[in-house]
This record gives sequence, structure tokens and C-alpha cells, in this order.
Amino acid sequence: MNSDTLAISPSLEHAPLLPPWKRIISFPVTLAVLLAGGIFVPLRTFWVDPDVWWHIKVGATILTTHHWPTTDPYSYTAYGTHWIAYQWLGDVVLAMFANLWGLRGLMALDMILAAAILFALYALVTERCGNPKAAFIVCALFLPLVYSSLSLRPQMISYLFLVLSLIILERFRQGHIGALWLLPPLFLVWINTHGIFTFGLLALGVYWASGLVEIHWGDLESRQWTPRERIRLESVGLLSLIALTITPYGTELLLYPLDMAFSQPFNMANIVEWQPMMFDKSIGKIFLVFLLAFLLAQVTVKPRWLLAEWVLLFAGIAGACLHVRMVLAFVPLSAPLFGVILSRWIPRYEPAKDKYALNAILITLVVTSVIGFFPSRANLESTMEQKWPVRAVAYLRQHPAPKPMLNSYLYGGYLIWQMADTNKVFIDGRADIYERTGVFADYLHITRLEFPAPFLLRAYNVQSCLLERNETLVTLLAASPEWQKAYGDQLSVLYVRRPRPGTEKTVTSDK
Amino acid sequence: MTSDEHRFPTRAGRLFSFPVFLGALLVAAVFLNLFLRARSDATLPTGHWHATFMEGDTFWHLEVGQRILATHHWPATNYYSFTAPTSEWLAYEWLGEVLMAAASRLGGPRALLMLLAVLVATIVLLVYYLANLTCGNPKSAFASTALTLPLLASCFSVRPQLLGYIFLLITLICLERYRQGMQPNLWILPLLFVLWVNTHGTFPLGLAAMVIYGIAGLRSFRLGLLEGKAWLPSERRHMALVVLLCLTALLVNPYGPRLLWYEWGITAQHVNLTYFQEWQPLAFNEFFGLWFWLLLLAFAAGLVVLRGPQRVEWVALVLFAAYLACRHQRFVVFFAIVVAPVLAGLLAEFFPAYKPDKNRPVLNAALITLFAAGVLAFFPSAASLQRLIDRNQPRRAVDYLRAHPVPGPMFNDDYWGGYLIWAWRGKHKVFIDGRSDAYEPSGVLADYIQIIQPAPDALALLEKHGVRSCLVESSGSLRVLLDAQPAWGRVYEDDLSVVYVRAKAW
Repeated sequence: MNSDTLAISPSLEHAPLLPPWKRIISFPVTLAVLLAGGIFVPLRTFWVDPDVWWHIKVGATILTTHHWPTTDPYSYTAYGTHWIAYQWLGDVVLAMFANLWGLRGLMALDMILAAAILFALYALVTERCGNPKAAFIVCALFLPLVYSSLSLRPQMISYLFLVLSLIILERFRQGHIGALWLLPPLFLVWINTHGIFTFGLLALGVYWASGLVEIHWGDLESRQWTPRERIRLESVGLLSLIALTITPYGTELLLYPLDMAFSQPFNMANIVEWQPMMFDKSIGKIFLVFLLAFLLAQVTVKPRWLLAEWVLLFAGIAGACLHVRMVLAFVPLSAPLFGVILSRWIPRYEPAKDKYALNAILITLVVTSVIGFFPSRANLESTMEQKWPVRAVAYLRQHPAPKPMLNSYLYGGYLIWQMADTNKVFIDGRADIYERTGVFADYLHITRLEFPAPFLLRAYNVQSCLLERNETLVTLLAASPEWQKAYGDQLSVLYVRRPRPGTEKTVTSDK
Repeated sequence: MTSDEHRFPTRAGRLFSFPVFLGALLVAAVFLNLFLRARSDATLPTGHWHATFMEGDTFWHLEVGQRILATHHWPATNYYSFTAPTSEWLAYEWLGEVLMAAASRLGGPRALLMLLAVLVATIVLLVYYLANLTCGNPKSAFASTALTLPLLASCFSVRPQLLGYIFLLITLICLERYRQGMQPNLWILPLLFVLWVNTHGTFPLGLAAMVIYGIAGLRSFRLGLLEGKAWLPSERRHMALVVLLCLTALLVNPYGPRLLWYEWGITAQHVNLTYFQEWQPLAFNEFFGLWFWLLLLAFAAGLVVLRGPQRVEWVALVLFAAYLACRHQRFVVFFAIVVAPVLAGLLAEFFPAYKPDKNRPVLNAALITLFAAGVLAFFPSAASLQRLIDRNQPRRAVDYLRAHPVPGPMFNDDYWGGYLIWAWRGKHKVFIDGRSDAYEPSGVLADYIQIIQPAPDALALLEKHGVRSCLVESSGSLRVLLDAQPAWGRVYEDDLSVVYVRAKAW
């Protein structure tokens, strides 16, 4: 079998079927467990997205009320305006773990999802290149990029679904036609979890379109679908589209990604994860190395590609270049191609040479290490105090600040989770509603100290501000005679409007 | 008779050939772009974030050039600022600055615009020539040069770096001609490096190109699409000697080896490299980033679909330039220069070869004349160029300050520092200007960033530098902070700038 054929044809070798216990402790499974163990180390820092807190609150509310919100209940700036919980199923999962096991539950969920994503990615690359060792090396190399998308939020579940959908399509391409029927139920769950279902839809569409005609363009090839395959693809596509309408909000969830892409320019321009790839940061440097390595491989190795995977790869690269968060799509779309390139030099897995006892020991070692080093509740609480305004919230509970209160964007979700019943926020991570109402623009004017900032503070009648202590607005409040510091710790600072003469003075407390 | 003389029996035939016509078309596009943009930009609202042909740095370059012309002395300290007056600063682009100053003396902004147009047109023509040289097809060379024009446009402002790009292109052309046996030697390169080191800090790119060419020819090989052709032993010795002479030539400057150390030091200035836009990574949500991405995609698609052999030196140059451009957007021009020949080679598959016998010199001459007339007709007036400068630079505030002096030292926006230096002929000492390399070692650049944000210690830093007045952007954040301070009073304001004066000493 020459290397070109290897690249283009279904390549997974069909090893003789092993007994289940041998499969569980086989070398490929050991490699998968090692990958999961590898990701556990950085994840121990309990890296969660600022949005996770309001997701938990929304999920908990849905679990309690059995009602899906349609207006904003959490802010005073956009209160009552139209808002949908477009990731409600993910929110519910987060809330269930938080309700049942608290912070340790959230940490466990993060680990489970991260391990599942890595297993799926490893399976996808193995499926494409037929070489679990090459797949392991590729996944290990991609680990830093994968890690960048593993902050706990519903997006992680969606990431898993994306990789699963690519596995299904790859298996279909390799002749496992039945696998395709898994897509409609997957899309049904996916659309209720997160908006990245559009990538799955795109992948399905590209696979379908690329097989409409037989193509041989240089190193690009595409096999025409047989009538049976094409009908199967079209039927599944149609069923998937129908599945996408089965949501508590009808077709509104289906259209939400379009709203995001075309109607929220302010959000896109100002939220970090929507920024273009940052080549001065480590994620950008690693991404760049992969990009240049791919180009170099193209010139030196001359691999042959399927049109569909090549189109998807470039969509993934373009997406990641435009928006750093899209690196999560770049990874599963490019890793299989790197697997194909690498598998030329890596010897194949031979079950006959497997050392099951050694595998079992390694697997046990990794699993016991993960369990043994799982962070304690005290550790997690300490981490929380270093990242979130835990102490400021405790202070606010004892000494309620005058309202309305302006809060840092990053603190909004946490305040919703902790104080939604007593304190409405100015803004939080649900940037979509704040963009539509103009609050987001005002918030940026205020916190960046742009010209209308003082007028806007008065227009919103802001009486107190809970901010990160190094924010630009703090400079103005600290220097302004109108404001007085009421609380400060290493992380956050609370300013209140100075009382007018004759009224009670606010107590200053520095921790 | 040469082969060209066989094809073009008359000199006019050669002068107005189709390849020359294509070159004229590129030049006309460049001139019109510059002139029309200058005319239309002059009507836009005020704001110094709009890029123009004279940016903030242009002005201090002019002043430095004028000073060297007047004193015949090369500066070695930061004469222009009050915050870092004793800091080392070398005019490492002095030859370009002298050229700019001479043009300005000759005809003011109009002469500077013409200088810019001529330099940019030279760059574009050299890119076209280089692309044609590598692929032998003027039509695909024209197409690839046209495709890279949007990236080349990112350097369309009067700065010495334009000369640096011209020197880079000449280096690449010499190397390519030598590789193809069209040029017997590379002795011109050491002379070029003497000019280059005195004009701009891009000369390491030329050295890198020579090294890449040298290494690519160490042995003949074929690896996938990549192919390398070994140099003859005599060629290898010649190249090594030329590189050695070029390195020696770098010492021929008014500062000697100190200049090289100084420029090397700039690459280690962390604040400088992270704060200024041209050193930022390429942003793919902006036009230049998108265009870069399209060219890279075209390159990759060409490799996969066309499967034509690629010379290792050019692939290495493209990957090197792509890496640099992604890391620092200012290198996008370098990428455009090296990707054009590669794209031309790929595009040659789609363009039929040029046939001189089908040439129409009369038609070409008529069209070239038409282009020239159009270009002259659209040359902007002195008044519109002045409006363009006023839109970005605080000319009105400076007029006010001349009539109503305020107590100093005065804090100023870094973008306006160059203009203040130029407008006051260096007599008004600035807080900071575009020569960020002069301000980083003393910590002034870091202080400036803290003040302009403004960070919590902004007022303390103003006090540290004894600032008594501030010339700041009217829509800037510092203005909001100063407005809230009873100690600071606003004495002047227009739609671009505001002047604040501190009522009493610190």
C-alpha cells in the first residue's frame, strides 16, 4: 500500500476481534488514558469561564421552575427585554452537578468533559489515519490548543458533539453507512446545548457537496457518492434539520448563530474570545507552528487529501484566525490530517505485541493519580477566592451597597449566581442582550473612561461600583471627590458615591 | 543582436512593449491610489487614528534630517525630550531622513507626497520585475503583483523604511539573477548594504535572504515538490565572500558598530514591541490580515492542486515571512514581496506566455500617456494636503500655544510628539514621541502608557515628571480624568485636541 493510497482510502486496519477485557487494557486504550491524565494536570487549576456562574443560575432556575426564560430577569439595565436561554440544556447539566456536588462536582464535570473530548479526538484521528500511535502523538501535540477550549461551560459539551459528528462522517465515508443515523439525535441534543451545531451542519453539508461529483485536482480528490450513499446523506441531513427545530424556543435557537454572526458587531469586536488569533500569545504561536508545519508538509510530503476535509480544514483555519475561540474547530478539523502525515513514519499498532499487564498497571496508575490528586473542597474554595469576588460578595451581604451598582463585566455572572435575588447586575457575560439594548456600548464607554463616561454614570444613576482593582475606571473614582472607597481586597474594589452633607458616612474597609 | 532586439526591432518597440505597459498600469494604480486617497481623506472628520501619507513619525524624521543637514552632525542623545534628555538615541535612519528633509525643503508636503509616490512605485515595479524574473511570464507576474498591492499599501506613508524595502528587493533581484546566471557576480551588494545600514533597520532581512539562498544551494535535491540546486564551488565561495563583505559594510556608518548594537537592542525592547501597533500580531479581522490570509490560502491551494516544483529558497522565504508577518504586522510587506514571485509561478499555469510579435507599441504608448495625464490631473493641491495634516496633527493647538504660552513641562500624546518636535524645530521639549526606542530604557515609555490609559498611578506619574500642562486628544481617556480634577484647568479645546494647565505647582 503506497502512502498516497493510505491517505485517501479508508485506512483503519481491522484487527482480529479481541475479548472485551483485552480491548479495555489494550495499548490504544492506554494511550487514550494517558492523554486524559495529561490534561488533568493543567485542569487542576479549576479554570472556569466567567460565564459559567450565570449558566449555573439559569440551569438551576429551569430545574426549579420547569420554565424556559424569555426575558432578562438578572439585570437592571436590560430587565424584561427579550432573552432566551439558548444553551439551556448545558445550563441544566452544569446546575445539576453544582447542586449535587458543589465546586467538586463542577471540577469533576470539567474533567469528564475534557477526557471525553480527548478520547473522541483520539478516536477521530485514529479512525482517519488507522494508526493509534500517530493519533496519540498528534493529540499530545495538540493538547495545548485543546486546553485553551476547556474552560468549563456548555461550549465544552458542544465541542464533544463536534468531534463526535466528525467521527460519524468519517465512518460513513469509510463505508459504515449506519453510523450516519446517529446524527439527527445528536443534532437534537446539540442545538439545545450550544450554537456550535452550525459547524456540524457545515461539515455535513461539505461532505455531501464534495461527493456530488468525482474530482481529481492534483493532490485533491473526491469520490462521488453512490446513489444509496447520497440518498442516505440527504435523508439524514433533512432529519437533522428537522431535529434542529425541536427546542423550547422553536426555530429561534436555529437562527441564533446567525444573529450572533451578523447582528452583534460590538460583541464580536470587544469580547476577547471573539478577537482574532493572537500570535503574540502562546496559543497563537502554537497555532502558527501547526499552520507553517502543514504548509511545509504539503511541499515536502505531498500528501493527498479529500476535498471535504481540505475545505473543512481551511474553514477551521479561517475561523481560528478570525476568532481565537474557533481554535476548538481548528483542532478536530486539522488533527486527522496531521495524523495522516505522521502515520507515514510511525509503525502501526500490532495487537500481537501488546503487553496487557503493563497497560493495566499504567491505566491503574493514571486513574488512581487522578483520583488521589483531585482537588479538595478547601482547595477549590481557595482558588475561587483568588479569581472571583468571593470576599467582596461576603462584604456586600453584610453591608449592602447603595443601588444601582455598576459591576465589572467579568463579575456579572458570579454576582448573578450569588446574589441574583437581592442584587440586579449592570452587565454580565450575556453580551447579546446588552448589545441590543445599547448597555454594552455604554459600559465600555464608562470603563474605558471615554468622553461620556461621567455623564453615563449619572444617566444610569450608578450609586456604587464593584470593579477589578486595576481597571481604568478605578483611576477616575479614586481621584474624584464624588466617590469614596468602601471596600478593597487583592482582587476587587467597591466604590460608593460620597454621601451628601448631613447623611451617614460609608465605612471604609481594606482587607 | 540580443534576443530582445530580434523581437523588438525599434527602441520605441522595447520601450512601449506589453510588459512595460503592465508595469505602467501598476504605477498608475499606485499613484492614483495615493493621490485620490489624499484628496478624499482631506474631507474626512478629524481624528488622528486615520492613516495618512504623513503619519506622526514622518515629522520627527523630517526634523532630524533638517538638523543633520544644518549642523552636519549626527545626534547621539535624545535632544528633543525633557523626560529622557540624556538617553542614548542614534539617528539610525539618518540617510532616509536627510532625503525626506531635502524633499520637504524643495516643495513641502507636495514634494513629500511625490517622493512617496516615486518610492512606492519603485517598490511595486521591482516586485513586478522580480516576479517576472522568477516565472518568465509578465502576465502572471503582473497578476501576482496586483494581488500583493493591497499588502504593499500598508507601507504607503513617508518613512525611511520604504528605502529599506527597495534595497531588499534589489538584493533579491541580484540573488535571483545570479542564481539564474544572468549576473556574473554580487559585488554590488556590499555597496548596497552601506546605503542600507544608514537608511533603515531592515538590512537583517537582506542578510537572511542571502543566507537562505546560500543554504538552499548547498546540495541538489528533490523532496516532494521541493527542489534545490547546488551552487558551483566558485559560486559558493563568491557568496560567502559577499556575505562577509556585506557584514563589514554594516560598519560603514557615522556611529560604527555602536549602531548595530543599538538596533539589536531595540529588538529586545519588550514594552515597545507590545504597545505599538506596527509591532502587534497581524489582526485577521482587519483588511491586511484578511488579504494576507487569502494570499496564503492561494499559495497552499496552488501547491495542492497544481503540484508544480517549488524552489526551496522561495518556500523558505515565504514561510519565514509568513511567520514574521503573523507575529508583527509590519512584516506583511516583506511577505508581499516574497510571495509575489511564488504566486506568479503558480499563476503562470493559467496565463499563456507573452508573445512579442503580437505587441502593439502604439496602443501601449497611447495608454501609458493617458495614465500619466490622469496621474498629473489628480495630484492634490497644497491646500488639501495641509487639511489632511491638520486632520491628524494638533496644528491649531500649536498656533494657540505659540500665541499663549503655557507653563511647562508639557505632557503630550506620543503620536503628536513628532509634530511638536517639527513645528517648534526641536526647541519645545516633548514628553514622548514616536522614537519609542529612546524612551523605553529610561522607563518613560512605560510611564507614558500608564498615564495615557490612565492607570491608577497616572496622576502620580504626571507629578513625578513635573508636568504642568497637557496636550491630549479631545476624545481620550486622560481628558476625562483631568476634567474631574479641580487642580487642572482647560485652557484650549478644538475638535482634535485639548490643552490643560495645572493651576499650581505639584
